[in-house]
Amino acid sequence: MPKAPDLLQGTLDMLILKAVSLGSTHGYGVLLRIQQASGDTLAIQQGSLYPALYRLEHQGLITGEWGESDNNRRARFYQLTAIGRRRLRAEREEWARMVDAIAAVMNATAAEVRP
Amino acid sequence: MIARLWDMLRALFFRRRFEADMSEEFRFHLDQVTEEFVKRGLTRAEAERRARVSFGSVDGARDEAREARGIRWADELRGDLRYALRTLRRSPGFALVSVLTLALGIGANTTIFSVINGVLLKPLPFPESGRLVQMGQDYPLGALPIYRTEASSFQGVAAFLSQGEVNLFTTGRPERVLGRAVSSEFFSVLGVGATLGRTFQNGEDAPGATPVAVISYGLWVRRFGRDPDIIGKPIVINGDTRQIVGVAPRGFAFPVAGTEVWMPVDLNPKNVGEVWGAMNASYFGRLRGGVSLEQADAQHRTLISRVRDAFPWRMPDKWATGAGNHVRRLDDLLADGLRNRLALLFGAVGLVLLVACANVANLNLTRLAGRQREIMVRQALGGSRWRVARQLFVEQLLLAGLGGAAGVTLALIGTPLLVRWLPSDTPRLDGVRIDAKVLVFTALVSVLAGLLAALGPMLRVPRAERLEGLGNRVTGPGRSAGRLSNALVVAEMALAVVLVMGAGLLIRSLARLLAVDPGVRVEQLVTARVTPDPAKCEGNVGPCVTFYSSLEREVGSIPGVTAVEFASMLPLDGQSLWWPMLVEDHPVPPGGAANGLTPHTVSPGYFALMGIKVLQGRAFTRDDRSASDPVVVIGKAAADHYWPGQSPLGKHIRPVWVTRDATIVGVVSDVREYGLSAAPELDFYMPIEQWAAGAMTVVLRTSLPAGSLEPELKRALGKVDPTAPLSHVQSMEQMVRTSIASPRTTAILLAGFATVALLLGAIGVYGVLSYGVTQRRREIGIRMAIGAAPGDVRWIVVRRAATLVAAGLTVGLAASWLGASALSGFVFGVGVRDGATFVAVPLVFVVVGFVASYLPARRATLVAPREVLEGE
Repeated sequence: MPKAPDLLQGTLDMLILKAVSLGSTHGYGVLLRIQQASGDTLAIQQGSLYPALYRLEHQGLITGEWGESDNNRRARFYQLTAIGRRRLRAEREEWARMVDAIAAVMNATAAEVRP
Repeated sequence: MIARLWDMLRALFFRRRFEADMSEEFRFHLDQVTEEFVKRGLTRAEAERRARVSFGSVDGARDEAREARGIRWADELRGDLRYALRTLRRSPGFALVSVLTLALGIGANTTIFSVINGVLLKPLPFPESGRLVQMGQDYPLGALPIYRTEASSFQGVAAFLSQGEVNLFTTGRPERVLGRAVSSEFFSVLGVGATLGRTFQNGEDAPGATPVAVISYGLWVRRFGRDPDIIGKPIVINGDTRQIVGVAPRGFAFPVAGTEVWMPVDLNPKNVGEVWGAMNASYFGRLRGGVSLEQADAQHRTLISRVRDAFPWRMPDKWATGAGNHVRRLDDLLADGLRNRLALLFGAVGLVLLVACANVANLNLTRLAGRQREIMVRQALGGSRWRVARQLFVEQLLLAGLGGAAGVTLALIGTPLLVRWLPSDTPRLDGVRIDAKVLVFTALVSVLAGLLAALGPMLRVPRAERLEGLGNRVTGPGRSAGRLSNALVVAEMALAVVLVMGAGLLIRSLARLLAVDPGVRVEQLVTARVTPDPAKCEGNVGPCVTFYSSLEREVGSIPGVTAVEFASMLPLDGQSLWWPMLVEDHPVPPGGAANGLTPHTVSPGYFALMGIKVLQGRAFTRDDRSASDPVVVIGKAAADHYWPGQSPLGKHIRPVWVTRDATIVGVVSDVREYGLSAAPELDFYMPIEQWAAGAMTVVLRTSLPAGSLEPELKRALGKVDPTAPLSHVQSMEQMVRTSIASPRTTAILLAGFATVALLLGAIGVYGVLSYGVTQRRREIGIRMAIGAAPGDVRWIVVRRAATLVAAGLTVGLAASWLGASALSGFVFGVGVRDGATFVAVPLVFVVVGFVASYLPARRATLVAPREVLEGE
């Protein structure tokens, strides 16, 4: 079924990869890490977190293993793969370029864009 | 990529585990969130609720997660399949007809393919069989030493004699079996070892070697009860006692199926006649690694000129340089003569399948019209056009799958029947079975059939915009669907026309073939092969003559037998022989091609019994004895060839290795030696008392059937010589039938396929007409209400049938005309664009068209105008 294009999807993937890169964690942990790191600014839709995790795993960027959580429950822990690490680096560079470019546009003065 | 596929497959196959894991993971998440809320002071119930709310739709997330894993399509497919099953169960008639139609098409394809696979595609059952090659023609056995020492392109070269039957004498009972004299490297070149004991060793075909034999697994079971101590035991072959040294592996039979015993050839150079006199050895070899077929062929060409020079007499300079004399792959050579026939049949079943697909497609279109409402409702509820089309496609695939399964069942029954019915000399028939490769083929064909049958209807799924139909009465598939349906029926008819044309041509050829006069009488004649052990007759006229005259007396006393004669070779019996001859008035320059004739030894009354007419001079008499001067009778073709316009009587001929001339005393009418479609040979006949041939065929005049005579004949022969076997007991009529088995089989198969296509085509026409009547009930009702007679109404239907059939005929006849050359190798006595066939076949279709339109036309006249109009 066709879905409305999610503009943030690429970004969500990057955020998840980053969160997982900080150390093996379960889905809830990923959620908390992103929330904490963003100072509660970014609230991830919980419903779209898992599809994203499954997709990333399917693409071989992360792997999931069953393990034990802090409160002694079975939980699935995700970990970055080598490909995932490379992808994260690439995405981070791309993101930085994008931010620079947008910043440059936002800071542009009239003089700079006169033909 | 592979990792992803693997991931998907794992999720698919360990589906329950995948779902359970996902549930657990989600539950863990919800519990964590709940705990968080509880910590913030909410009641547990409230916390759980909030957690669920913050998560959003669990089912939605699950669905997306499944999609992320690439397995959602499988869920949808399952849904489609379930829906398709339900739909088909609701219209069992449609389902049954579709499945049966497809099953016919797929079954026919599977059956023919299983034969093609076994006979043409499978590698020969020998190790690295791709390197096995055969020399394109037969040479004398004397060539073997040259091959052994000089054929460096080959790892090894082996020979086997063309004579393929031997006398076997075990446990006091003579038997004629398939057996071969082979060179000592026969088994090692093939790469086949013995199951028990050993195969032949080098030198076992040299003069003075201990006589040995290898027996087949089948013979070991049949005649020796799987005796584990069989090795070293004696076996009597052709009167010689040999020692059994090995049992061949189960299923091994080379060069022909059914071969039961192998023995080494006798390579005695002193025996010039046997070693050099006959071109009766086939040579095959195994290519050395890295040597191509072309290289081997080139070497073989130079080698064969060395063989020519090695003959004890001068051979024609052009000997063995013919176009057919090439080194060829063994499997390739075995398939000769069969490849074209199978290709033709394969083409035919392909057409049958197309007709079947068109038929099902048409059924679909009709049904689609009835499902218009359902489809529109589905679209209104958000089913995309693609999704609806996919649903139809899945339905077709399901039908095709069922059709395929039913087709395989048909093929499982049909293949063994076909194998039994094919001419028994067809090579490699024992390899024909429904194996994995055939099943893969069937699966592919089924999917293809499903696609074809679904394609048209899928294109006809209405667009979502046309939803206004939902509120209205749905009347029909609309004009364009009607056009498509007409086109399908026309295509079906055209395909059927092509098939029926082909079958018609082959049947006419067969009739022509059967009308050929074999040159001999065939009624009330029973023949049987008598093969005394060679030592008893060969080179020894006296005992041989005594043997046959005793046999004549014994057989003549069987009640119901009114005449007994003998001949070394009968027309159409499958034997062939050619002797180089010296012919008066036709000297051959050194190095020129020899004069050749086909020799026959016959008893005096043979010509009269067989109805062979004496045209000049006389037939043989009892006075043509060994003591008197040699005489011969020649056939008309030989007379015309050597002495056109002259009398050959009194002229002399003789085989090149014989010193005494024979005088021609008569000319007789020609016979068809090698087949009804082959021209008569240059024949000459010798009297039995002057030229004893070891093995003879006894010909009896009797009104008794061959089968009931067999025991009597065996008893009679047993009285004369208890070691001589009797074989090939059959009537002359059977012999003629066997000789045309292969064109007959092809014609009958093709006729069968054509009939199926014709029937399907007729059903197609019937279906479209019938549906047309239903659809036009209103129109017909109104016409009748305003005074149309039943004849007018019938005419509406018949006119449509006529248009469809005429269009199909036009296309089909045009296609037949253009593609006629495909049949050129299969017809005899008729042109591939035979006028009579081109007239007769359309008539058949006109009749079929009328028959197909009869019921619909009748139904149309039964429309009650009042009901129709009031029903509005």
